[in-house]
Amino acid sequence: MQPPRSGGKQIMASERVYRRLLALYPKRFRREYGESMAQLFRDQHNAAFRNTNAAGRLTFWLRVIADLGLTVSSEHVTELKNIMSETLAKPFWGKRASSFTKVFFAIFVLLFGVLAFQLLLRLPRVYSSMARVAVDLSERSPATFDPYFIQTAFARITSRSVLGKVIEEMNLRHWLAQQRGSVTPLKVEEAYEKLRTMVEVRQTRSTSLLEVRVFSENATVAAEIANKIVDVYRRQNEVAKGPKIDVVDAAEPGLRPVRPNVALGLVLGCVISVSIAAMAALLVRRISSSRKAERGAV
Amino acid sequence: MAVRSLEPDELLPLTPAVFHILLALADGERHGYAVMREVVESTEGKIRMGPGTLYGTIKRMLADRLIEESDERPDPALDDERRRYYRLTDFGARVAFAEAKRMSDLVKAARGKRLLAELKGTA
Repeated sequence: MQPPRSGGKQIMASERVYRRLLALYPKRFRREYGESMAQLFRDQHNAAFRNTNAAGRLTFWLRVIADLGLTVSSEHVTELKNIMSETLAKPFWGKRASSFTKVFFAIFVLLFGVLAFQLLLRLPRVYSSMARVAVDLSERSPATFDPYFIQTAFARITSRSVLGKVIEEMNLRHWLAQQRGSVTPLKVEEAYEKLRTMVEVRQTRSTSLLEVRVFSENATVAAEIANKIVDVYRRQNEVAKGPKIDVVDAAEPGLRPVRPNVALGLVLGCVISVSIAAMAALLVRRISSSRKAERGAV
Repeated sequence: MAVRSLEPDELLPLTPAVFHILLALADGERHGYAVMREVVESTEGKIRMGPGTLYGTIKRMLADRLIEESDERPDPALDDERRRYYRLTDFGARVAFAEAKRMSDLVKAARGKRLLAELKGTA
């Protein structure tokens, strides 16, 4: 190649700048074509500086920058696609996997499996207690029939009127505060909001029976709250001369926690730990293979 | 695993950059700068490929086996030995022919609609 006859320093400075800009390309592309691109740039630069004026040189640089802007992003997208396809094409387990990847994968599965199991054991155990009441609608005349009676009953059971009375009679402001680790009793509104999240009302399918469930880490208190809710609701209904409410089943303390679901937790724990271990193994293999490639390139 | 060989038509239509590089290499092997100059001359300066466009396209063409790198040098004394030369493969030549045929058919269709005559009139 002919050495630059004029503006040699300028050309060298430009080439240095261009070589720095080449760092924007993915490493693999740069390694393969970086030198050729720098040489092409040098050739183009020589021609531009030999044959054009200042405006032409500016146009040349604008073209170079536009070329970089367009191709750097597209090469990165291509590189990312290649990495994905190369990574997914090789198994991280089986005959074709390296022993290092296998050991790494096994350690990660074990590590995250134990961690997930520990987390599962540390989750608070929540018990559920259910009281069931029957609503006698037989005495209601068609004129006073409310098609939304069940929905109305749901709303009334979880109303401030009923739950507020339950909080008051059981002195739950203190107990609910203790559940949060505080000694200061909760405000009435705070206590209501908390209790509201613990209560669930359902209708037993195809009947006029209502189920009042209370969820708590304390099985006995859950049963007491459920029975108190039903009692307060029944009494308020009597005062309001509403339909007759009979307690069909009083709540009993639950024997087994309903949350966390251990079986589901174990399955999810296994799936998550295997997934994380697989991702970690793929990442490690990726780093290790690019280091090998770099060593090979030197 | 066996790699299925592509048919030329499967790569059509080609991008302008790919087709111009194929045309530039149709006369023989060339290095990157010579390819670029050939493209500028054949398009009267309308297409100017920067280093990123040229080598990005060359990379994809090598992967598609349209071109290959050549070890031969016309005359090492006249040239920088670091330059990399490229030449058309048989498959590349068939693809270039298929693209030229496709374009020729398009021109024929345009002539049938008298589009080319109109263009000549406005030029």
